Amino acid sequence: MITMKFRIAAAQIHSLQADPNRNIQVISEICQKQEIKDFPNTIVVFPELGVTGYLMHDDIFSLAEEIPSGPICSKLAEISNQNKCYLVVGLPEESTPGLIYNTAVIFGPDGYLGKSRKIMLPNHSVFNERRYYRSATTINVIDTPLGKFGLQICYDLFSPEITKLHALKGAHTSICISASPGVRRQYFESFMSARAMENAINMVYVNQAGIQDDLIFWGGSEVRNSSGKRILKLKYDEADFGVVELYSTASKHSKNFVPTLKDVPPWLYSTLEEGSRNL
Amino acid sequence: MVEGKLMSKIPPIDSIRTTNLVENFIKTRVTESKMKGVVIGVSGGIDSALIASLSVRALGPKNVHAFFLPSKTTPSEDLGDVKELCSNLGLKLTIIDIQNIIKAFSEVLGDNEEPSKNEWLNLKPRLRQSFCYFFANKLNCLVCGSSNKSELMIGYYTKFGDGAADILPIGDLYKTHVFQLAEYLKVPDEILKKTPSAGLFKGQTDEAEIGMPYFELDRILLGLELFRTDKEVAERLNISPTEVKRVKSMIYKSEHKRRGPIIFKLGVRTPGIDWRVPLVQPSKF
Repeated sequence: MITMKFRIAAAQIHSLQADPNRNIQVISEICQKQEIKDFPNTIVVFPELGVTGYLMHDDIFSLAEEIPSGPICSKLAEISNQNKCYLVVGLPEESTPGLIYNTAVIFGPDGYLGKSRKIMLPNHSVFNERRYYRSATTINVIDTPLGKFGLQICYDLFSPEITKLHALKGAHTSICISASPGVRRQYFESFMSARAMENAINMVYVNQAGIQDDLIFWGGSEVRNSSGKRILKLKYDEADFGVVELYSTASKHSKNFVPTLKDVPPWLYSTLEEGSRNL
Repeated sequence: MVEGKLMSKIPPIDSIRTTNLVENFIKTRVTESKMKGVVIGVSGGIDSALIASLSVRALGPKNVHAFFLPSKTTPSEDLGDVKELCSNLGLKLTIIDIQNIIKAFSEVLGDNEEPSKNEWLNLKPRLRQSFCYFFANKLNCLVCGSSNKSELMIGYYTKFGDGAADILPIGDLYKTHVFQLAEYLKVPDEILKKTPSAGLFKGQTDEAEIGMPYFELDRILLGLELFRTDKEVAERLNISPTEVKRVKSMIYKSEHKRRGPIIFKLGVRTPGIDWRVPLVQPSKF
């Protein structure tokens, strides 16, 4: 196994609502930063629905697009190419007319690499995602020149099986893009530590910051290495930016110490399926 | 989620962070609305004093316009308290006595003012808010309301009166937390220690009208907010279930106040129901 050193640039932005033009401008400016351009193998991670803002409401119907053939994706591919960086961000995906997913995409210097759709769609408290989105029907990891990555979106982190599946499918890093408002901070921060440690996998979390309508997104993006140590933490409540190095093989070394994947009893998952069907 | 054991006492908020968040909210709403500042009706009470302090921190004193709008039932000490507050915050204070308008109203109607009757009682906050909106238009400002979560949840305010505002920055803070934050922001002692009153008729106090102290009301509301049953709330707070039911009843009876005017759905997409757009207009649309 080749050790791959790469960098995560956590771009915690305050996306403007239903305004892809201005948000793409911000994304482009961040990707032009010297600390990104000067280092190959940097993955710049933006939040959930970072291109469109989280609260688009019904404007989503005119903003969602096909991935990767839509106009927003063309611009994202261009930004990655021009700045020789990788770029992860969220946008609404219209897979067929009238059918929308909340999706995370990854582009590299040579173009589109893959996407993952949000599985857990919150429709409680202030959330209204099932009004607009369909839940993903599959789970995948994305093969890149930097190794395999899992992408998950916000509330997906509440389901430990998703990160576990990223690890089982060979990802060394799971990236969670998020738009988490208000009072859920403790949950996410606890889950980040737990998901990294229980799977011996690098964890990246990038949240929205600032106010959209009546919601305040708490920021606080962070990166945990595969032994659960927090190696980057961004400011709460406001836009921020930070870069940190990670190693693709760190996950392998951590697994020698905590071999949870080796010890996974397959029957547990069939029981889990049975249990969730009988709820 | 607050642990059950803590329900008997409302946990304090993080004063520093809450102050920052509310300031940011005020600033964002004013900026995104492309307005210059806020208009606040200051009464001499703790809620409007807190709102004035937070607004000044967010926007600076030049962009906060304070209006004291007394009537004949306004307690005499309120004027002095408002003057001290505004002086401390560097705010210009405008005073307009609304009693002449109430008198004119009475003359037009040929009906004597009876301050404790609902129609006259609610007229005052509605007149005050008319002034606030008049000046908000004139000064290119938002009207910043002072209602807190305790009042909002039980409907202890006048619909289209003090409840009418563009933003309610402390609308998700219980009165208990209003006291905490006001103390943190050094609101004048006279205001902090004053018995809360709407000042709409002589001798009126909030807690007498609500029928329980804010401290108890807030604990009941918090229990209900955290999805506890009536029985659980009553047991943990060691109070009668009747008290919990009474608060719940106030919540139901006042739900119409917390919503905009109820629209009856006829079309494909209906304003306020399922025709939803962001508060801010995107750059290109």
